[in-house]
Amino acid sequence: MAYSCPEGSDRIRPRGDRTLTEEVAPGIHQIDTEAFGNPRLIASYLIQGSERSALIDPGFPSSLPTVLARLEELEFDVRKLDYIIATHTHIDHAGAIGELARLAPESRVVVHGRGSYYLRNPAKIAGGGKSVFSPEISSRFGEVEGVERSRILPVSDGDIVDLGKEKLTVFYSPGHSTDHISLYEKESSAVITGDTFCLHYPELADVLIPAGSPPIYQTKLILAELKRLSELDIKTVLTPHFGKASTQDPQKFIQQNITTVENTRNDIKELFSQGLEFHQLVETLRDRVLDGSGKPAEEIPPFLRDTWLRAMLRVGLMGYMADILEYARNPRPFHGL
Amino acid sequence: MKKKLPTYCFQCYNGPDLFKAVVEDGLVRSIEPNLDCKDISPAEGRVCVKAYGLVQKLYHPGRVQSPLVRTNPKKGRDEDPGWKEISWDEALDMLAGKMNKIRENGLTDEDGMPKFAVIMGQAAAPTAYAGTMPAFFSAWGAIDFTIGTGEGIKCYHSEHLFGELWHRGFISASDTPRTKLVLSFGHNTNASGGVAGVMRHAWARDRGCKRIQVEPHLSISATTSDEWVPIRPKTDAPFMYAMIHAILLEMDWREVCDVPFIEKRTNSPYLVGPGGYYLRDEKSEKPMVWDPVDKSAKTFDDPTIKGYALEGAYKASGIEIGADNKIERYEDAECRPAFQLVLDHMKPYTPEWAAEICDLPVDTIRRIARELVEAACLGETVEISGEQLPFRPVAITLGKTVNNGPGGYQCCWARTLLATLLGALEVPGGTVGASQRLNKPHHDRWSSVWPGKDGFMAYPFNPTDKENWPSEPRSRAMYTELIPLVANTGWSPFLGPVPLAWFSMDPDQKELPRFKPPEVLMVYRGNPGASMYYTDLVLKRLSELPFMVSIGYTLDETNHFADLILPDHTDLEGLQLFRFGPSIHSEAFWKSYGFALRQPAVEPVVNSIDMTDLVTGLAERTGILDLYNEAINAGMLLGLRLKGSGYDYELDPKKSYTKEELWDRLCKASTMILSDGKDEHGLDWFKEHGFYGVDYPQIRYYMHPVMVRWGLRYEFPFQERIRIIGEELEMRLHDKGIHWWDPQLEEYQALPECEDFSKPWDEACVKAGKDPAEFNLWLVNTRSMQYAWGSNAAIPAMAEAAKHVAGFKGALINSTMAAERGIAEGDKIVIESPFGSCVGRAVPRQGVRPDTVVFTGQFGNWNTPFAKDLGIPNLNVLTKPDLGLLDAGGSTADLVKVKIYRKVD
Repeated sequence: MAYSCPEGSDRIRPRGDRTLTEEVAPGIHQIDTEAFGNPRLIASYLIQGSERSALIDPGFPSSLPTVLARLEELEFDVRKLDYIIATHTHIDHAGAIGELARLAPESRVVVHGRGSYYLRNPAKIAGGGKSVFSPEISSRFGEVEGVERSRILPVSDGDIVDLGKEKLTVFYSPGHSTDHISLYEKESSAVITGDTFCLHYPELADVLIPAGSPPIYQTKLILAELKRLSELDIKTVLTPHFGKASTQDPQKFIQQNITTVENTRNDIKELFSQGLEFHQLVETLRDRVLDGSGKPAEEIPPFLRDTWLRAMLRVGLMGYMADILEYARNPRPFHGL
Repeated sequence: MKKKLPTYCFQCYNGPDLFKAVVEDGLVRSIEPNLDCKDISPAEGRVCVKAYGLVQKLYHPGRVQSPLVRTNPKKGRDEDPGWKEISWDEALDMLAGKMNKIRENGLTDEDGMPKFAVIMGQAAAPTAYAGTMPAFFSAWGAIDFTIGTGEGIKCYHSEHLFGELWHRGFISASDTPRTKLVLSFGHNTNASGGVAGVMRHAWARDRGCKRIQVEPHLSISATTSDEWVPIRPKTDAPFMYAMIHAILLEMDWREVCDVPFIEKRTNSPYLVGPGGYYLRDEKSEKPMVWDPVDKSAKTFDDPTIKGYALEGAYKASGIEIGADNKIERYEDAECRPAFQLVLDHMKPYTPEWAAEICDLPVDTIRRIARELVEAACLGETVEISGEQLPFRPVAITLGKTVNNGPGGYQCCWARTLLATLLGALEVPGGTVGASQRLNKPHHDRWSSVWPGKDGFMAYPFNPTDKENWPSEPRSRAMYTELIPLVANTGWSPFLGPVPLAWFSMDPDQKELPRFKPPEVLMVYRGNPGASMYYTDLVLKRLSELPFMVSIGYTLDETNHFADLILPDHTDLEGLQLFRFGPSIHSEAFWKSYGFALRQPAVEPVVNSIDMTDLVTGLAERTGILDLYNEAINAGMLLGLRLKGSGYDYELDPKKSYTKEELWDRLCKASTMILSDGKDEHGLDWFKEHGFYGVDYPQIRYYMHPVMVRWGLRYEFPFQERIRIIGEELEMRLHDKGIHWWDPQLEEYQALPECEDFSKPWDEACVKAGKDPAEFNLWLVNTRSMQYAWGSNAAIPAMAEAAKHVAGFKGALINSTMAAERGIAEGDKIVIESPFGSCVGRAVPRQGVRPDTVVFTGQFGNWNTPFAKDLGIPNLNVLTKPDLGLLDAGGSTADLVKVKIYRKVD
């Protein structure tokens, strides 16, 4: 059974209404981007290094005012931001980057080389979002702005974003998307995972849900990436969906992620063999997540329960489907279903 | 010493045919099949006649011997260009000079039109010869590919667009190895399906498969069919509509149709509201169906659905969303399932109605409808790749002129409806798509399937809404503006309304927007001066071009107007890696897919150039070498990225590479990718072995398994989106004051109405001030396997093979009709249309309707060596631009009203 709470997690996390910024590691602030006005769905991270600063994944375009307000509360002058980093160019992570880059004129935008094209072509980012999210959600994206080519700093595996004493090492992790990177900061032993790690929403008791994504979600790569990260000395796991992993044992948390990614693939194949079709599968998986949370439905915020969870499971299942059905944009070997 | 070099032929879309060039004493002596691919090739390694002609192609005395520059600035059919030989450096410098001027001053002109345009003929087959040219195009930027030479108009155009929308069937085909009955409307498999087409159909007939050929003349496919039904030209849609009528309204459709398929895999149960759009749930905006068990309307994907109503009328509440998202709310409104609307829609289309239009016995229509349902094997399954799939061994195929031009939409719709009624769409034995081109990727149809709106596959329509409609054209054919269905991906420019590109460059025309011609036009393996309609107009436009460069083989009707002719290597001289399989054309289904090498069998015979060398030289001279190399790195060639998991063959963007270095890297990348990193084979390995492939699971040839897993329905039979985009397009165009596209807008119907689609051709006569009763014969065109797509008009070996095909020598006419007119075999006859005339030799035969004249291929050459002496007429010279003959995709049919009479010298 794929969906369960990670062992050792705090099932009851602070539920204060406005826990919107939190120092999750020395010099690293987690910022709740409050996607469409909903808390604890998408996290951004501000790292104030000894010499330079970086903001990672500011979220949907419509979330930018929230992010800017939180930065102001932290007394951080956005105009002095040095780096804006996209773990990848999906709209829920990088949608706000274009406008943010305009407001932070000295900043460089860090993205994997394969993501550069998308940042320069905002319609591609918006189009990608619209192709997977329902009209109800995509109508609330906000306007994606492009980034000038000269502002973009393409990176690849092993590159280091130097913030002074703090250095962010780039881990290319294309399992979720071909332009995906994770980041590791040695000083604080923190890993900023991007969507390589599973989703875990506090209001769903941190039940782990694999962050599948079309068009190319490759579980084989995801598992390898998780294993690779597990070899690091990690004290803190910082995820976008949502927030710092509330675990005492990061290695165990990674292992639980691995198990969840594997089991989910097997579960989906099993459900296919029972004759379930895509939309039936989404509902089945949703029921399992809600069951796994152990919470009565009425205690779960309606937007998360009815709209967001369904949307994320749908997107995730699309990724898994592509993986199981051996989808490919370019030539590849086919091994059979 | 004798050696055999593996290589390929891709002179048409059935390729590549893998073969071996037999070389002795530095000369290519012959061509042999490459039987190393026997177990994976659709034709078991056999090779088409076009490949055998390559020896003559190589040593043809009429080849352009060296780069040629024009010395006579006056351009005209009767002008001598004054060709002068120049060196390759001079030639490339001259071309680069023109192109650099474009780069200096901007890639587009004041109308937004690209200043550089490219014509590629032969249905994009030239990519198998163009070397690294796609990377150069990518690096260059804005290019106009819409000034076509036949592709996009003389093709399966409506089938391409609608087939791609409905079932990813850019080309639709019969699942020949499994089918029991093929009903072909003018699909001339024996000519258009290559060796595989001939063989697969022969094997099928041998095991008892029946083929019925419906067409005005006895084509070479009809000669090997069980039955020829001599239908009147352009009346195929009424025939098919009448068969649907017979199945739905004269038989018990619940008994003879695949009801579960209709309920779950089509939009038949979707409720349609009073306004003619889907009735939708107000909150989710999803279409609703009627559950007869619960007696309530539910969204189509409601897990509580216990059954689907297909017939009747029901009271339900919800919304309709029409054009520009206009919402109408309904309370307890009367709604009908789309299937009921189909039942109502088909009532007038009786077999009696069709029989009169088609000029056929009414019993023939009813009998064939019965044969279809009897052969459908409802309820049966077959195991494919370990999975049980429905087995419905009946297939309907369409040929050119049937599936394009006015009535093309109706034919495609009716064909697909017949397939869905019998559950015979995208399942073993049925009608299947052979490839997709507008949705990526091209090498695997499954991978193009994503859930879209309303339970259907996603489709990349060009937008028609107010906010996003591209009101300013960016190509001379205006395809993003006018053709929502053609999308805007790599192949889209080639499939736009090609005639408009030629019309819009006419400085004297007043109806359409006027655009300047490109500053530089490059023509590669195309001959619009002979193969495009309206030949006079095309030649006039060619003569007005500021600068035309032709990549030339022989002198021809197009490069007669060029400023520069650059001879490239022929098939047996050039170097390139190209893909084979899994499926491209109607019968080319491989068991494997991968890459094959085309390699030089001998040293170049003339002072020609390999396309990769030409393109690299041009990239250097135009200062875009870095972008060109980066495009290759990024996978612009064959989808092969030069850096990936476990391998890195990336090019240094600043360095110039030889063609051997480039293809060596691509060879290695291809094998590393396909072997999961186990095999690294470079150019030398490919030169010895010829090809490298991996298994392609046969289940992926059918869309059914992937549609079921996604829970998707074919967007069929009700065409709500087609109606909506038509309405939106009409508003956009009318807001801009454009009314000249109104006839095409009438095609956007949710349930297409049928009529006698031969009428527009009579109307064209009237518009020209002529009496249709005088021009009372139909001139149609039939394909020639020896010539189709291959630039082979100059090759004597082709003529020798083609002479065995009746009609090749001239104009095929009915022998009784000929006798009545005193016309004998070999007589010179004049074929006259309201717009022109030509002369050909009469070929009287019984296998053609008395009201029909048949031309084979496209000739009428006056400059191409050898071909100019064949004296074979050309339909194109008898046509005239007429927007009334274009369908909504901008295509038209190979059809002209003519009269004939003996020519008295």
